[in-house]
Amino acid sequence: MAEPEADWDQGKLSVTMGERRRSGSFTDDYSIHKTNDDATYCKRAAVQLGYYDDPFINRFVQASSSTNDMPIRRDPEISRGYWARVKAFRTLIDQFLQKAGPSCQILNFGAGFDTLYWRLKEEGAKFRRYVDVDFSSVTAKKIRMIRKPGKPDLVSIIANDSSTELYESGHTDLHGGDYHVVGADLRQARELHEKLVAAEVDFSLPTVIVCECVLIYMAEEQSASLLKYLADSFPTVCFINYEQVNLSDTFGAVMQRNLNTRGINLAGMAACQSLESQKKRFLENGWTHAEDWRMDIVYSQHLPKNEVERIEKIEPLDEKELLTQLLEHYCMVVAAKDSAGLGLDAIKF
Amino acid sequence: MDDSHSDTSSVTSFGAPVIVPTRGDLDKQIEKLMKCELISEPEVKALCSKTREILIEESNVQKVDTPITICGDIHGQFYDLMELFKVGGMIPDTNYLFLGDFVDRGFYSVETILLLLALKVRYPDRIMLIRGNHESRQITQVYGFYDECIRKFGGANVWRWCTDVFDYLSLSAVIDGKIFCVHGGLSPSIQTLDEIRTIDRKQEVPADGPMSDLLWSDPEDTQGWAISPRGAGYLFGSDVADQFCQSNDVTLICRAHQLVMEGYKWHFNETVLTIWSAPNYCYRAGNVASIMEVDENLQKEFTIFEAAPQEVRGHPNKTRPPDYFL
Ligand SMILES: C[S@@+](CC[C@H](N)C(=O)[O-])C[C@H]1O[C@@H](n2cnc3c(N)ncnc32)[C@H](O)[C@@H]1O
Ligand SMILES: [Mn+2]
Repeated sequence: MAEPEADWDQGKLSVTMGERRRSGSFTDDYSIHKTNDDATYCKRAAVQLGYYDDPFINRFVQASSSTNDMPIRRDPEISRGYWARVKAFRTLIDQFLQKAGPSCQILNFGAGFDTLYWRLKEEGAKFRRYVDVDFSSVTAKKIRMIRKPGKPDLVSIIANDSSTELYESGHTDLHGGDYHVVGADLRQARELHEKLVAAEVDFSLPTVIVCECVLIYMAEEQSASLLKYLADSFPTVCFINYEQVNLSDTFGAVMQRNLNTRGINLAGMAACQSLESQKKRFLENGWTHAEDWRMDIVYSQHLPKNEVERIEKIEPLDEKELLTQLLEHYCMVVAAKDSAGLGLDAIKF
Repeated sequence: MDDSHSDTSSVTSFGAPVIVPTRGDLDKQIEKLMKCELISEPEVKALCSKTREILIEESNVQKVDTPITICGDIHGQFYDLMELFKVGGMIPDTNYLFLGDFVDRGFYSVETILLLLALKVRYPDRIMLIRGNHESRQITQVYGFYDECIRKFGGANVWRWCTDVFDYLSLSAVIDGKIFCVHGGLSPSIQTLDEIRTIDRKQEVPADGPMSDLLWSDPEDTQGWAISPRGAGYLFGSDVADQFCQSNDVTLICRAHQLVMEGYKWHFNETVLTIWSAPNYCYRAGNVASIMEVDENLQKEFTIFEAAPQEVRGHPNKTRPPDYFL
């Protein structure tokens, strides 16, 4: 368990002492970068079958050798689950944008190849700044793909007027207009802080941190330090977390074993034992509000009924239990610290 | 659903006569398949053609005798099928009735179905296969068997031959006149076994109607009939099951089709039984599996088994990992 009063510097020290500096040199970090490929392929599969629209996702799928071992089609329960995840995030993010107003910031931690920035821009969403953060090897690839000519043109959406210039540093960071993508290990305090500063993050602005299947890949102490740092640094902030929950049963044990054989270590499983533990990690680290929803509840009660009906017609699901079982093991948590009183603690399903 | 491939006629793709496999050939093929190795495309063609000849003789309600061991869904989980044979005994020492859903979702649908077909041809009186809702052109294109055939044979021939065989699979079985066995369940348009006998089964599984219902329906704690959330078949209540048993002088409706975490499940005061034989379904669900042995006195004995240990599963990287939301 994380010590509630351990400060960020102490946390950082133990992290840097225990691990080598360059994240890319860890063998099992490589498998964690690869989880992004899996998420991207699954999302692409769902988009291709018509579960939801994302005109940008194809720009982030490499037509290379790696496609061979990644079948296009995923089982329907997987596509339904990804649809629910994307839809649920948008529901909550849209509420944040409404409450926070145009001078707000969006930080996407462990963003991978998420297209959120472009989807928001396409729909005319208003925000001051958007920052994607991931391991530098992932952001380097993302930058290459952003810059690669193609349709739709990603660069022109970032640099939407002639005065905007894109500049890159070290191939891992890209800054341009309101968009930034920076390479940082979320477990490394100083590195992360420096990169946020380089991305001109204004700590006084209302900010939402989006974290989609990320925290479970770091030890509970490390995510606790990260959450504490954020609560300490931003007075008006909202955190939307999506990841596994209820992992203390057989399903959880099987998941851990399966992912281990792929070299993926769920280092943060301890925080994913229950909805309680998922909330507690916030409340013990400087956040004043936290609310949780299991995904099976989100799916059956909070997503628009007509949309659920539509996507359930795309492919028949032969065994409903498989979807239910998956959804029962994922959750969303909205946490907030709302010094400006914008009503961020009222963001909910 | 795209049904451009759902050829509903019973025209088959075998064309010119194929070489009939000898007993020796079959034994060699079975030996290979038991090691999860593939046989050649011409061998598959011959095997499928021979299987079809055998299946065409079977009734829609095939009579089978005790002693027999009944198995539920397998879904391409080849190494778990080996586990099943380990606990249940090998053919021809044990007689088996498989309740369908041999393919889809697992990593080895091709090896699994070919092994079952080879065993059927080699020991036709020792193994009975009936049709599940996944033994269909349409469903196999969604749940993996089609893709797997393309991946393993570089084309759709094997899928075409196998799905042609599926059209000939029987729809149900009756053990010693007393236990009615079917993949899914009952149909509002079927009251008697004779009504099942009149179905022209040699076709792709239709979207609705009695044949589809037998393969898709589920028991549910209600009375009468209800719409199924699966989008095919119906939910049937205890009164429906009682009535069916009475009209047809059977004591039990034995079916598969639904994942049950404990391997098997009784419904409605033991008039309906679900048997599930795919342990750790989709390599993810964490369930156990079961088979049921029925002896000459219709005494039933269940054997629970778990997934094959990782060591015997072959190289993990060769197979696609199970899916989660990562
Ligand atoms: C499963 S992917 C999800 C990607 C994206 N959020 C989505 O949902 O499509 C997890 C991502 O988190 C990133 N990640 C995990 N641990 C991280 C860390 N310590 N620092 C930075 N990124 C990390 C991985 O590189 C990967 O891109
Ligand atoms: Mn079935």
